[in-house]
Amino acid sequence: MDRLTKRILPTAVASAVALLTLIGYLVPLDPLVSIRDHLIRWAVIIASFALVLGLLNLFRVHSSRLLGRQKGWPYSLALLLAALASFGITAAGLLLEPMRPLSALWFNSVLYPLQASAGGLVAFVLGLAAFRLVRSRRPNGLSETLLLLTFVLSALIVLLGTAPLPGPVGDLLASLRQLWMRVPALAGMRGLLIGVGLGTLVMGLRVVFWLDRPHSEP
Amino acid sequence: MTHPASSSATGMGGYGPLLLLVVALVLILLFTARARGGRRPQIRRIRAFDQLPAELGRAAEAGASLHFGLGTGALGGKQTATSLAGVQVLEAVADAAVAYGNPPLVTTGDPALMALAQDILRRAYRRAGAPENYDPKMVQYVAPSPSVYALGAGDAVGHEHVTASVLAGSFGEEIGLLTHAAEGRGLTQMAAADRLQALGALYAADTLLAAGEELYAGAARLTSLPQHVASLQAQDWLRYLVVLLILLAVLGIRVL
Repeated sequence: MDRLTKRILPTAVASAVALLTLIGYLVPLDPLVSIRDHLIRWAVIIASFALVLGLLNLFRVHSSRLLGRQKGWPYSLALLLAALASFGITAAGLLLEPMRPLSALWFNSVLYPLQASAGGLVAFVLGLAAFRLVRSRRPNGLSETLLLLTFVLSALIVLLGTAPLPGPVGDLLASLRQLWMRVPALAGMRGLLIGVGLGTLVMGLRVVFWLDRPHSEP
Repeated sequence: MTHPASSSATGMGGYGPLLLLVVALVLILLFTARARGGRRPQIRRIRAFDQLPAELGRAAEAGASLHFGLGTGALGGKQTATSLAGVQVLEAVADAAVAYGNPPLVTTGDPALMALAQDILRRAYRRAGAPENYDPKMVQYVAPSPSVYALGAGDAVGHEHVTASVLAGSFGEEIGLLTHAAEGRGLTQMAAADRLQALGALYAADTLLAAGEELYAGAARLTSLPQHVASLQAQDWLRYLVVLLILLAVLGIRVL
């Protein structure tokens, strides 16, 4: 019984659902397409339940950090208060008409700007990392040296080609950038993506055909 | 979406994708049978994964853990395979980490991936004969938004007792925020990612990097299980096939 519930059943469900969805994409017959669409809708519903589990985990982790006065507990307190405020305001906005402007204000004036500022930090952090890379990375061997040089050269061509420099120099750099992006960068990118695509395909097939069982005992 | 791909750069039209699937499946089964029969090829070194057991030992000596970032790729979405590849890296070291008594701190931006990672650790504890020591808080759900995930996981890396950070899964360029936090603490960093945006950020950061399809080689490199090794061989053969189809398409020859 244990074997059935912990090994066979999860694997059978995962394989059957994956196969039916895959066939629905590859063979355009109406019943198969309809089954595929239903399964995708179920997946969305199940994923929303998983989100509840995720939120419970978030509360559990941070309340334990807060109650145990562990390092960084004030951040956990801020997170819990912000999460509760978000939940309360959103729920009030959904249930009570007069609360909707407050809900919109919370999203438009607090949450989105916070997320945007987090995204804005990325540019600075990446710039700093690139600066550190050029200053302190000691490449080990010819291939690493070539990789580093290519990285630096690409960054320079793209940055200078994007800058609005006046005159023929600006035009030249802009066309160089365009050429760089269209030929070597795109070729490298496609090579990488083909490799990733094949990796994804093989990984998927392993799961569908029981060769890999990440969701059950091996 | 209801029709098979009509054409592609490889000249594959109509049922080309279906044929590719069948060829891939046959190759996987063939190479798995060979690997189970003891004919396993040598897998080349990938520093990001080769360093992992040593880092695990170092963390155990320091009484600390490793941070495992699985990213924000949702199970059931486009990044499912990428996230599963990341989970396999975790699974490959889970038994050893539990045996050492220093289970990893796992962060993720997808709740389904969180549940899967929790299950992997729970099973590792059960195999080790100490299910009572399993703590679900070892796996932390951070946030679905990539930048918020990177900041939240960076906070966990900054406050928990970890000696190295391992990133394996789906990330965007925002992962730079997490690597920046880890660099600030002087942690050794190993990363495996397949998205171009992440690779740019990870290359610039001080990480041992497994780029693109190398992410899918992690489990094979760490466990040498027949099915993992076989899938790498199948990938190689499929790559030769795709190259051949591209060359034929360039010459104007339609194969399919």
